[in-house]
Amino acid sequence: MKGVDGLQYREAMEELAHCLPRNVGRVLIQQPEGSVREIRIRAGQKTAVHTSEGVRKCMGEPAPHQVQQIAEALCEHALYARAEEQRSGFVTLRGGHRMGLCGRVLLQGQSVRALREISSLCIRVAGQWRGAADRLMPHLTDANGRVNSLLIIGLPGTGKTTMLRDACRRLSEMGCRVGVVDERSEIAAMSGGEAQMDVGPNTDVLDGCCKEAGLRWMLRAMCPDVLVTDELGGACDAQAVMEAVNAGVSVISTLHGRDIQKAAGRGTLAHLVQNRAFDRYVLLTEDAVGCVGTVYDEQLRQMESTF
Amino acid sequence: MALRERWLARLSLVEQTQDMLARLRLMLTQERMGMCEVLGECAGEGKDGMPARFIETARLIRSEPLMDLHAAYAQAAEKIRVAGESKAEKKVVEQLFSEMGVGTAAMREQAVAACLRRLKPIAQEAARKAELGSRLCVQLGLLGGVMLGIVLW
Repeated sequence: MKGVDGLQYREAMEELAHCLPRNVGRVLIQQPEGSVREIRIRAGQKTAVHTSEGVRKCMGEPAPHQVQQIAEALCEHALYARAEEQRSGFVTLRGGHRMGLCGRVLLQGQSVRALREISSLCIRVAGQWRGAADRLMPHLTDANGRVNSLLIIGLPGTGKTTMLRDACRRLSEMGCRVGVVDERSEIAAMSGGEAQMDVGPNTDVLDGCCKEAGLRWMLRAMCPDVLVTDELGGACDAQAVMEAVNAGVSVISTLHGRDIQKAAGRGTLAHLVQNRAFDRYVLLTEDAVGCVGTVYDEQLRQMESTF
Repeated sequence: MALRERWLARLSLVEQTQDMLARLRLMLTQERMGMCEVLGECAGEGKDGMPARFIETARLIRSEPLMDLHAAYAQAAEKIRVAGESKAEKKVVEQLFSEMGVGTAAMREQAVAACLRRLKPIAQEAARKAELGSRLCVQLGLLGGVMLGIVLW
């Protein structure tokens, strides 16, 4: 795939394959560069490797205890230390990959207390795609060279984080001071104090910190020109974004959604749209990864569309 | 003298194991590190004995991530013999690694706490023998001195 960092991809595949059963690892390594999207492991079912060219099934069906073993191996035998992440339903692996977990949930009232008897895993492979943000670049800066605040909207698996990462890298290379609040360690994939993904030479990363505290931390401590964060959620995230924007710092972020009008009607985005927090809204298409569908201005008026 | 030295070395070994397990107990609840790193930190600067065994366990897990902790420790224990280690002590630590591979951080911390409790009588016995050895040396020394005095007189 054009733009995919070949060396980084191969190393990531080898690291993943090392933690998976041999039959799965072999299939993984054999796939064309940059093609692997997901690996789905289910107890009692054949493991499936989802690529850009289709689904590859692996021989053998893991038993429930083997699924647990695979989850432990992927988390460097520290699944016990990731209890909070488990309660959210997924864990970020080294390399920025997201491993979704399914099993038996123990509830305490209405909230998730713990996850037991893990029965299936969904590993979404992260990748560095240089050029993913090419279509965004004309909208990232205005006529005066100032960076626009921009929100990328799309369904899961449409490449929002990949695009965000590349936008971060491009702005950093242009000389902007970029601050990344990487709550799930998926943007920069920090490991041992070093970013595993290229986020640019002028980028500071706050790893594992919630957006609300992280955005404030960055504003006070690191004098950013641009703040980058992934997956805006509730009112607290929206409030933190507003504080950053009101402080004169541009914010680039992502949001789950299919339709801009419906998303704008929801709590988080409604508040941000009303207050003109973002200068541009970019809706990604569903049928391809990292493909810009429509671009809207701060009042949600359509500026360009590939539909 | 040789007996005393052996008993003192045995006491030192048990105390070293207890120190490592105390660090392990703290790290399981305080740190968000992978198990390999945790075992490496607990081993500290030690190059042989129990620290070497922990490092070997970490190395085995790193090279074969799908191996469970108990199996990795058992292999490491087979490869690295610790001079003076008793069967009881070996069994206690093996039991710990079988319990430490599953459960929440709190459960694993409790497994380490239980292991430290089981090691306590072993440590007390080793301390008692070390003290006995020291007293025996002193008494033998005194007896030797008295006999020499009699011979000279």
